[in-house]
Formats: sequence, structure tokens, C-alpha cells
Amino acid sequence: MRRMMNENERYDYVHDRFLKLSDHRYLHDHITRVSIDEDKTYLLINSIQDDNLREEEEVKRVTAGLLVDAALTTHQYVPLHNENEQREKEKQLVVLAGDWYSSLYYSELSKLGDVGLVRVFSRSIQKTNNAKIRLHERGWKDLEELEELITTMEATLIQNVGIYFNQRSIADFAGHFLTYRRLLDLIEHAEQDKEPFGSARLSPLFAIEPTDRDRENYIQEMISNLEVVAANVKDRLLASYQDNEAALSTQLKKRFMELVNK
Amino acid sequence: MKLADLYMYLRADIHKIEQEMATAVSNAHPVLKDATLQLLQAGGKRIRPVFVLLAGKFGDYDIHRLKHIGVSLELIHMASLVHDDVIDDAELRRGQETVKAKYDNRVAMYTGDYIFAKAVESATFFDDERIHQAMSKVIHEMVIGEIEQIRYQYVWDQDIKTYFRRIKRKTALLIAGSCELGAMAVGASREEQRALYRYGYQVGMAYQIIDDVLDFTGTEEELGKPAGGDLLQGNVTLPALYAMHHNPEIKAKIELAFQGELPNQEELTELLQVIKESGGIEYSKALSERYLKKAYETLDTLPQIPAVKSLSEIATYIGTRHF
Repeated sequence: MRRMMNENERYDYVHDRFLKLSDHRYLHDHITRVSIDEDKTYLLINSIQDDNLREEEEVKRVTAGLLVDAALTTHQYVPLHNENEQREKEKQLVVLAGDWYSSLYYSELSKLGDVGLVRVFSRSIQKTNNAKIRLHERGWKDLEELEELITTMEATLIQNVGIYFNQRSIADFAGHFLTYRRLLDLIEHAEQDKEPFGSARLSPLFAIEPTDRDRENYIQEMISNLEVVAANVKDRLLASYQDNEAALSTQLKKRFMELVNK
Repeated sequence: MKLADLYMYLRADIHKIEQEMATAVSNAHPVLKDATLQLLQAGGKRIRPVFVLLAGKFGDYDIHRLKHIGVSLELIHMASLVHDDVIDDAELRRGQETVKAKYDNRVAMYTGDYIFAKAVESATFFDDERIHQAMSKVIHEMVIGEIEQIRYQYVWDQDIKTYFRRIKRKTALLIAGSCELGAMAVGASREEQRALYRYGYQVGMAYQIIDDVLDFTGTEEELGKPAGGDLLQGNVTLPALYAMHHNPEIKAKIELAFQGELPNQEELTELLQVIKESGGIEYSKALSERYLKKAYETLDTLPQIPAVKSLSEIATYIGTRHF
């Protein structure tokens, strides 16, 4: 099917639709609105391509995927424990903002009548939260398992969407790309030592204050582990790029270059 | 008589729904599983699955279809409870530690999100997009209702319409949806679906009004929590709204009590007393009765099958319940 919108126009359409659908004046007057993840938007745009769908139907599905991502990201910002009474209302609204995004993705997909994709999304959300709990509870045996959990947490949704729409190259690339991106972010914030334990930026990996050893050693050990994992993932990302280059769009190639040159 | 006694003959099918809910989390991480099963085992009235099953009697009753709707709605309710406990900073629910108290807020968020996703997956048994549209509308309105509740917390001069809109979204539409979806799942006629939706809405409104009354009149033993919790949390419900509207002195007293720190137990007891003496309880009960009357009238428009008697008895129970 001939496509009328180029990649960037699709991005703009999705961006506008996301803002329009998720607009809630009271919520956004009181809490910071989650920003749209540009990398994930382009990955979803390239994952959701189906000759049987009209172009508008494709981009609406992309928006639904971003709403899921917004829901999951927003809930990362719920503080681990209650901090103070002044921030109580903010905490309450962050919980509800995540639920608000969840309700919107289901509403959007039900209007499109895509029950298959509803199933893909709901299974992906389950898998993602399972991984988050395991990370939160430090439930990995070795670095391989740690990497697997980070990939699951970061990329399950987009990988599953890619597989559902038979865009396996994008699914493969997305797994390595998003894992590597997250690892770099975790290492950067842990190294800066500005982020408190339990902060959204470091969650769920640094969620529990270590009690059995001193904090500094724990952070250093974790950073070293993450660096080993990151080096391995980078190798796989480079290989995936070579294997799948033909399927990647201009934007995805550009984002890949920016990431590996960081 | 207990509510469960009214639908004893549905017990086997409700059990199937409960089993299905337990199976739904059997592959989850132990923390997720433990958190969900604890909620499941804590019981509850299972009022939503009951409405689904009773509405299912108006079509080609099939528990293998209905259970997916029942599981879905009950899991949605359960997910919202887990998140509500984070919102309310609640330590106990039905006498047991909440997920957020046992673990932390973040685990409660992941658990709620997981259960919600399971709920949606259960609904994907159906390909009919109307079922998903009705289900997603229920969820969407419920979240808006929750946001409205926070928005109007400690707003003492809100009008009565705000209260009705809030309880409609927070409670009534989930019950209305349970009735409608049960009917949809078994192919009841559109007319029956609409009537059951209306009945559910009317009963749901009455249910929440009585729930709000009980927070003033119930004992700690009956409620499973201290009386006056709503007022203390700034949730302005019908008895208080009536009292403040009809007596500016009560409004001034409440506003004064909530200036600065929250009122202590003695002050709270005194506030509850003045609200009870204002006529707010009687007014709320009368309004609840009015909704129930409409519910009985709606039932009269439906085919007079045995399920109508159960739906009618449940409505009566709701109007007279003490906890």
C-alpha cells in the first residue's frame, strides 16, 4: 500500500494524537506530564506496518502503544514509600495518571476493534511487570539473567508488536537498542550518584536500600556489572544493525548512530 | 440474611470464576502471586460476578463465556483496590496487610498493573468489539471518577451534582457494566442489555450512597475500619454535603476542624454526631430508596424469569444493609 505520510509526518501525527487523547487539564496542572519517548515512537512506527490497514489505522495503533509505555513509565514515578504530606496529592495523582493512560490505550484499541493487539499489549504488560518485580527483588542469578530482565522490562512491548505485525527485524533491533540505551542511562545516573535509591531514574534496579553492605560498594559493584552487560549488549546491537540494516528507516539508523557513539 | 445467601444457587459458578482468577496469576512472580492470592482469599462480596451471572440468565446462559467477563471485572476491581491503597496510604484491607504495606508502593503499582493487564486479557476471549468498548468505557470512567475524588478532596463547598457524577463513575458504572456485559456475552437482546445496564446503574448509585452513609453510622467492627474515615480523608459524601448545605454553622465547624492539622478522634466524633443529627443520613437513605425504586421499575420491564427475583432481592438488601 502506498503511504501518504513519511516517517516524520507519522511521528508528528502520533505526537499530536497522543497529546490530544491524554489531555487532562487537572492532572497536568498538578503533575509533570510524561514526555513521549521519541526512540520508542520511531520503533513502533516501523513495527506497525500492515498492508491490510489504512495508514491512519496504523498510526492510531502506534499511539495506543505509546499510551501503554506512558502508563508503565508514569508508575515508575510513584515514590517507594511515602515521603511527606505536602507531596501526598502528587503521589496520588501519579498513580491515577498511569491508570488514566492504561484506560486510554484500551479505549483506543477497542474503538479500532483490534482484539489481537489488545491481547499482545496485555501479555506484554504482564511480562514487563513480572520482570520489574524480579529486578526490584534482585531476583537474578547471573549477569545473563540480569540482561534478560532489563531487555524484558524495556523492550517486550515493542518486540511483541513487531512480531505480531511480522516485522521481526525491527523486533530484534529494538531489543538490543532499548536494552543498551537503558543500561547507559542507569550507569550514568548511578555514577553521578545524584539519584537517590528508589528514584524513578534508577528503578527498579536500585530500588532497595542495601542493608548488608555499605552503599558505595554496592553501587560500584552494580555499575561494574552493568558495564559488563552493556559491553556485551553493544556487540549484539552492532551485529543486529548489520543483519537488519535494510529494514531500518532513516530515523532508526540516525538514532542508532547517536546511541553507539555516546 | 447475608448477601451471599441471596445467590447461593450461583455459588458453583462463582467458585469457577474464583478458580479462574487464581489460575490467571499462577505463572506470575511469587510476589505478584502472593499479593493477588491474598486479595482473592480475603473474599469480598463478589457482587460484580454475581451481576454478570444473573444478567447472563437473560440470554443463552453459558458459564464458559460468562466467566471471562466475571474474571475480567473482578480483576479490574482488584487492581483498583491495590492502587487505591497506595493513594489512601492504607495499611489494612479486610483485616489483612495491604500490598503496599507488606512490600512498598512500587510493588503495589506493578501488582496493580499486572492484574489490570490480566483483566484485559481475560476479556480478549471475546472478539466482539462492542464488549471491549463497553469494558474500556467502564475502566475509563472509573479512573476519571478516582481523579475527581482527589480533585474535590477537602473541597467543602462542592455541589451535590459533583458528588453524584463522582459516585456514578467510581461505582455505579462498574455495576451497570457488569450487568450489561453479562447480557452481551450470552446474546441477550439489545433492549435487555440496556435495561440491565440501567438497573445496574440505579443499584450502583444506591449502593454507594448507602456505603457513604455507613461510614457515618457503622461501628468499627461492622466496617472493618474506624467510622468517619471518608470525612477524615476529605472525601465529601452525601450526608456531610446535606448537613453543610442546610446548616452553615456545621459547614463552618467542619472547615475550622480541618484548618491546619487533621481533627483528632474526639473532634471527629463530634463532627460525625452533628452530621448525623442534621438529617443528612435520612436524606441520603431517601435518595438511595429513590434509586432502588427506579431499579425495581426497570426490572418490571424485563422478562419475568427467576433471575429478576434475585436482582430485586439484591436491590432490597443494598437498601437495608448495615455493613
